[in-house]
Amino acid sequence: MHEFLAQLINGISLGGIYALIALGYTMVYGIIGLINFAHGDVYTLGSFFALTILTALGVSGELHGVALVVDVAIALIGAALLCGIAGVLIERLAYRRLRNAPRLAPLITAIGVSFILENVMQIWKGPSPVPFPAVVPNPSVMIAGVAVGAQQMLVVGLAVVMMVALQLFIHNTRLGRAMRATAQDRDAAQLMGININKTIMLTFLIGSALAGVAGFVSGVYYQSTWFFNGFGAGLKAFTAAVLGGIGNIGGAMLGGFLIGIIESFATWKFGGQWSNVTVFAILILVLVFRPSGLLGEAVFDRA
Amino acid sequence: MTPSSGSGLEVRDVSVSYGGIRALRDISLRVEEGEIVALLGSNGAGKTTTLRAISGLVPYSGSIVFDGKELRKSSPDHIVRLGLGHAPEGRRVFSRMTVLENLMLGAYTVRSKQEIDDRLAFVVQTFPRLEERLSQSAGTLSGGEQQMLAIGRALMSSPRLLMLDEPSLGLAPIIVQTIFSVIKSINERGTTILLVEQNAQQALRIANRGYVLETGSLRFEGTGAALLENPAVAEAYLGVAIENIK
Ligand SMILES: Nc1ncnc2c1ncn2[C@@H]1O[C@H](COP(=O)(O)OP(=O)(O)O)[C@@H](O)[C@H]1O
Ligand SMILES: [Mg+2]
Repeated sequence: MHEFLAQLINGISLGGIYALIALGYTMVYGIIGLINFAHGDVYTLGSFFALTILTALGVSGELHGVALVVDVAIALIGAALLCGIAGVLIERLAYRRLRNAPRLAPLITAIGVSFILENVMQIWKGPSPVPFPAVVPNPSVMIAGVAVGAQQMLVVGLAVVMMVALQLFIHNTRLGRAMRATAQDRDAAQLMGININKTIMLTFLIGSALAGVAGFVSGVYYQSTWFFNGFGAGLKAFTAAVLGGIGNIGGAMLGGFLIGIIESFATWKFGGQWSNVTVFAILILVLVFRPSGLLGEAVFDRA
Repeated sequence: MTPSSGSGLEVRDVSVSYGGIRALRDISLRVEEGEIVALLGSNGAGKTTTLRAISGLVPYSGSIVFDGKELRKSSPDHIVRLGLGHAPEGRRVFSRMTVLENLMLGAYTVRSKQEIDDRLAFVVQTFPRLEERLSQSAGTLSGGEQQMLAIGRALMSSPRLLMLDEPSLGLAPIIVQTIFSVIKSINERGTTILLVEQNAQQALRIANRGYVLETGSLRFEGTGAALLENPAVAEAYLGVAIENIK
C-alpha cells in the first residue's frame, strides 16, 4: 500500500510534465490539424533556456528565501517566454506557407524542424546529458504515510495552475473564444472578423510556453537535461493527447496524468524496460475500443 | 441607425478559378446604398463563389470596391471591419458553442461594451426565439433557428452591407416567410443587402434589383419586377410557379 501510494505520487508528478507538453500538441492539432513533431524539442529547449538563465544569474545550487522565489520566477517565465517565441517563429517560418498544402507536407516539415532543433541543441550544450542545478530544496511532507517531496509538489502545482489558467482563458476571454471558433470553422471565424494568422500564432505561443514551463520543471525535477530528451517525452505526451482525444484540452490533461501513472506503475511492477511497451499497449487498446480517445475529438471543448 | 459612410459595392470583371476550373467568368455587378439586390441562379452557378470573393475568402482577378475602397488585397477580417457582414451558405454556426457565444463572436470586431449590449438587444428583438436559447449550444437548434442565429451573428458587427447566402434553404415555408420579412425590415432600418437565393420569386419580390448567374457568367440583370416578368428568366429560374404571380 505504501509503495503503491509512493508510485502513484511519482506517476502524478511525471504526468504533470506530460500533460503540460500534451496541451501544446492538442491545441496545435485542434487549430490547424497538424501533429507538430517539433513540439517535444521545444520542451527540451525550455530546459536549456532555463539552465542558461540560471547560469547567467550565477545559480549553481540550492536556493533559499527571496533568491529562491525571484530566480525561479525569472528562469520559469524566461523559459516560457523564449519557448513561446520559438514556437511562433517555427509556425511563421515553417508551417504557415503550408497551411493549405496536402497534410503530408507540413507533417514532414515538422519532423524536419524537430531534427534541426535537436541538432542545434546538440551543438549548443553537447551530445551528453548536462547537469541542471538543484535550485529547489526538497524537504518532504508525510501524506498518508508517504513522503511527498517539495519538488513533486512544485511540478504538480505548476501543472495544475497552468491548466486552470488555460481553461479560464479559453472559455472566458474574447481571444480564447476566437481560438475555439478558429478551431471549429476557420472560414466562419474569418467572417466574424477574426484574424486567423494572429489566432494561430497565439495558439503556438501558448502551447510552446507551456512546453517551456514543462522544460523548466523537468530540469528541477530530474536535475539533468539532454538535447534528445524531447524525443521520448514528446512521444509520450503526444500519446497522452491521443489517449485523451486529440484536439481536446481536457483530454490532454487527463491523458498526461494517466500516461505518467501507467509509466510509473509499469516501471515498478515490470521494470523500466517494460514501461514503454505498457504505455503503448494501453494506448492501442484504448484506440481499438474508443478510436477518438477517452474524451473524444471534441476540438477545444470543455473538459 | 443611419450609416456613417457609404455602403455601395461594385464588383468589376471578377473571375475565380478552382484548380484550373473557372467558377466565375468576368462578372460585374453593383449594389447601391440602401438597396436589396438579389443574386440568383441554379445550383453551381457561382453565387456562393461570388460572395466568398467579396469577403476575401477566395482569390480572384478583377476588382471589388466597397465604400470606395479596393478589397482585393484585404484579408477577410479586415473586410468585416470595413462594414461587410456575411451569413454564409449552410449557416456555419459554431455548433459546439452556445448561442450567446456565437453572437459574441459576431461582435468580435466591436470593442465597446455598450455597443455590444445594444446590438445584442437589437438581435434578440429581431429574433425573439434566440433569446430563450442564449445558453443552449448552437448545434441543438433547429434549422430555422440556426439560420436566425447566422443572420443575428452577422448583424452583431453592425454591417453596412449584409450578404446572405441562401437563407431560406431547407426551411419550412412558415419560417421562410419570417426570414424574408426580417430581411426586409433589416433593410428598412438602413442596412444594404445582397441576397443570394434559389428561391427566386420570393427574393425578387423584396429586391430592388436582381442579377441572374448561369455557369459562372451573368445572364440577366434588371429590377425585381422586370426579372419576374422576363419570360426567359421565368422559364429558366422561376419554373411553373410563374403562374402564381400573375
Ligand atoms: N472549393 C471548391 N473547389 C472546387 N470547385 C468548387 C469549389 N467550390 C465551388 N466549386 C465549383 O464552382 C462552381 C460554383 O459553385 P458555387 O459558387 O458554390 O455555386 P452556387 O453557390 O451558385 O451553387 C461549381 O461548379 C462548383 O462545383
Ligand atoms: Mg451556393
